Amino acid sequence: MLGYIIRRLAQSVILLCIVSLVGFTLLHLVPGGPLSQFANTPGMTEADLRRLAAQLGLDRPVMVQYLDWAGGLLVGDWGRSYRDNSPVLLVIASRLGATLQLMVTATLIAVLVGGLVGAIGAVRRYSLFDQCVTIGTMVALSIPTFWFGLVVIYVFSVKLGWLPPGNIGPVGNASFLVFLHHLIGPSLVLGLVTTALWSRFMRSSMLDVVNQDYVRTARAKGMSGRTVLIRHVLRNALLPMITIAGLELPTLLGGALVTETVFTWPGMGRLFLDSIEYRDYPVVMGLLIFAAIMVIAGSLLADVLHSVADPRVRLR
Amino acid sequence: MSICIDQDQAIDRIVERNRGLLLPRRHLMALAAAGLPAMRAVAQGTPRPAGRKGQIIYGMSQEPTRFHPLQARIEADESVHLNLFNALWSVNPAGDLVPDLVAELPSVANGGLSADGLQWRIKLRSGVTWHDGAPFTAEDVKFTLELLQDPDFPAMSRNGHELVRDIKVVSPTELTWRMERFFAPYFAILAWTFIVPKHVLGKVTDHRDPSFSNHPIGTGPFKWGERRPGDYVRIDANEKYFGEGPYVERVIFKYIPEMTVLKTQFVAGAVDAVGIAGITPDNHEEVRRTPGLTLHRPPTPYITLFALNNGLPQFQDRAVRQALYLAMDRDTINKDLFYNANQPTESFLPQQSWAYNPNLPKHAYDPDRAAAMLDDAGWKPGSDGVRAKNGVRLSFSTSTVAGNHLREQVQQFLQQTWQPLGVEVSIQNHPAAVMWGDFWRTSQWQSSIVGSIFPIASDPDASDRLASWAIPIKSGSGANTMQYANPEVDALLRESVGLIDQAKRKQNYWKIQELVRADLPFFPLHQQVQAEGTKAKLAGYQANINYRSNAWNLSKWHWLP
Repeated sequence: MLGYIIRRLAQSVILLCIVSLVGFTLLHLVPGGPLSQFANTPGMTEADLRRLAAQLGLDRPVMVQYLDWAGGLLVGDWGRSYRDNSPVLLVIASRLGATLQLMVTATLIAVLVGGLVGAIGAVRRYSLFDQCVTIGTMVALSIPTFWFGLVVIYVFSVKLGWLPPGNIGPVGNASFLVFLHHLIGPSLVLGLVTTALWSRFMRSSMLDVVNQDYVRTARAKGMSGRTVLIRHVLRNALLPMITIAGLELPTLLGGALVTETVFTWPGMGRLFLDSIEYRDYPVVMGLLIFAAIMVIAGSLLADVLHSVADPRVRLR
Repeated sequence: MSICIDQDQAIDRIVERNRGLLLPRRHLMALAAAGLPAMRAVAQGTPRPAGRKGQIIYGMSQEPTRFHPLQARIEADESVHLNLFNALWSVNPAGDLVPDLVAELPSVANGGLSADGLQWRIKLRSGVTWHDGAPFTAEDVKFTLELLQDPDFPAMSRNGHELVRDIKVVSPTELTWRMERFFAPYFAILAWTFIVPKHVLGKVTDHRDPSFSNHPIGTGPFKWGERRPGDYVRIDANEKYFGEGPYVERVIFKYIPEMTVLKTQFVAGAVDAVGIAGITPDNHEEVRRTPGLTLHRPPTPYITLFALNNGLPQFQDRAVRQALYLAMDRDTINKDLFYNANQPTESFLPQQSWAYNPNLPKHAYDPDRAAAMLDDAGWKPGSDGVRAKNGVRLSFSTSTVAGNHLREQVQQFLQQTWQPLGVEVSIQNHPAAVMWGDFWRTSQWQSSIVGSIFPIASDPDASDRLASWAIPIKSGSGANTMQYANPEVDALLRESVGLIDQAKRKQNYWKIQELVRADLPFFPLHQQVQAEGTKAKLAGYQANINYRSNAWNLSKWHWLP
């Protein structure tokens, strides 16, 4: 297994090089640039903009800029944000916490509720409950998150006053309870969609297992329905979930663009949108590399965990 | 004589405005002579609270991220700078210069300026300290002006500063310099130039080093608190501030990226004030109806234009430009599409500018006359219905920021209204970063809907946007991406910045506005009005068109009991 992991890591380095080269080139080929935000600033002229471009190194050929940036990356220098001159790693780290809090909460809700609902739906297939859940998940998946978030804020914050209208919390040191209070709205909105997804995954995974021979054999042995369900069906149905969970890792850390925007949550999704909008190349590239590493790590982790959990899988 | 006299008059006007408050005018003059802080203290009309209370959460849909006030910045950054730093003087809402870090405005009368305006002697306020306790001196002013001339420093603009020579510190509160030539807008530019501390920045060699921006030190009414990236910037009251206020303990600039959410948070009470980029017209009514909130609708210096790329052959003929403007149903655009929320205008200068010309011909919608004009000028409809002359078809694209729904509707409306005239318009919109990138700067666009500020600070000099030497693709400088060129306008612009006599300057700018109105290098739609909001119990809001942010005077904001 160790050999397998080392081989995978070596492949990852090549993959990262390709991802960064393609990403960098595409990003710089897209028209516009970080100076656009100053184009209409009174007092700023073309000469000022050109000087700024030269100071940021933007007047050099794209390949030279790439090599400069990649060279820095090799020695751990991810560059500095054009917007506040902070080191990119620091910029990413400053947003990771907020995103983790939101995503972990939403994912917990999704896995617990979605898993349960999906499992029940699979066991009681075509029952009224299953039909309701199926319709419910379709509705949840179809609702635009932006609209739903605004409705939640309007109803629970503006009208009822139960929840804060977004924000990660009041400025300064707030208690844990206050933080939880702020977390309810965005994690429910985000959780709704992911719950729907997870319940579909769980349901179909369970259905795959329910019809397997070993389930029928277990029942034939005289095991009770509940024992079969927990010991054979659920355990086997959870295996594909490990892969899904692994692939979810980048999503977990990548943040939620829309939910973070509606609920003014200063996470990675917001950072990504803002960086793209302002063409903050170093941060966009930093996020791209970070996401690529997460995808690679997530799938590797899923494979390893899968082989640990399922003795039939052997990694070579 | 001059701007100097005007400035003296400006001080007089400030005193004048506050006549009859508490003291007879001569006493006020005596106070003014004795020192401006006294004058300012008396000059405030409304009762001020004793001490500091509470905080203000000031919501903006842009995130402030740059806190070195001399580097390139956006409006949101400026909102913070205005409260952390001071300039030598500031501009009040009426457009008058008011002493800030200076003890008095330099004038010929007080020996601050030579009669030709070239020798400057600046007397600074004494007893001012930086937020870290170090004394503020003339060395800081010298350092700031020299930094702006440093070729390695990423200055936002060197306009005017590059003319300053021989800066000499006479004493801790006095310095002199010489101007290479007299440059009238420099007074206004200095009102936008924040003074930075030499004892901190003098040691910095890498100008991209973020340490100052991460912990800026100024002389302003608030000092740096903390920043949570993507969330907020907190500034705390400066107990040692030399001026009036502040009356709150802290201000939190809260970044709320989405304007609908910003409005919702305001209505829900989570933010106390809404600044940049304001409240959209479709939400005005909701804010008005919500008890405890006040909607402000101050004019901004932004003029919304239908801009033409005058370098294109189809726009070279003045008859074409005039006919298009005549055939533009501007009233419907302003009333029905822009919710009647803005101020129609014919000029590129804000109507509050001292140089604004109110006598420009008013726009009239007359498509029949427009058609006749095009016929007379030889633009004949071709087989496809589109007019043409000498092989040039009257066809062009129009661009604006994709997703700006109001402007997109205007494009469609114009496309429809100009089509019967034999004019073909296609729509080519781009995201902001693309629209305002090379596409805009190198005049690749054909026509566009854009909000532009023409003057520099409170000065009406619009050379950057109107002079032929300021066309970026030709000269590598300026911001005249419309490629407007009129030798008469050029001459007037060039002359005006060198004039000391403000009355003569005003005449010139009136003439420039007449010429531009006749030439129509762009069609002025309106002067933008930005709706902002404050909680009704929050007093002190005063719009100031001379700054890009109405957070310019947060030190005077306070909570009513």
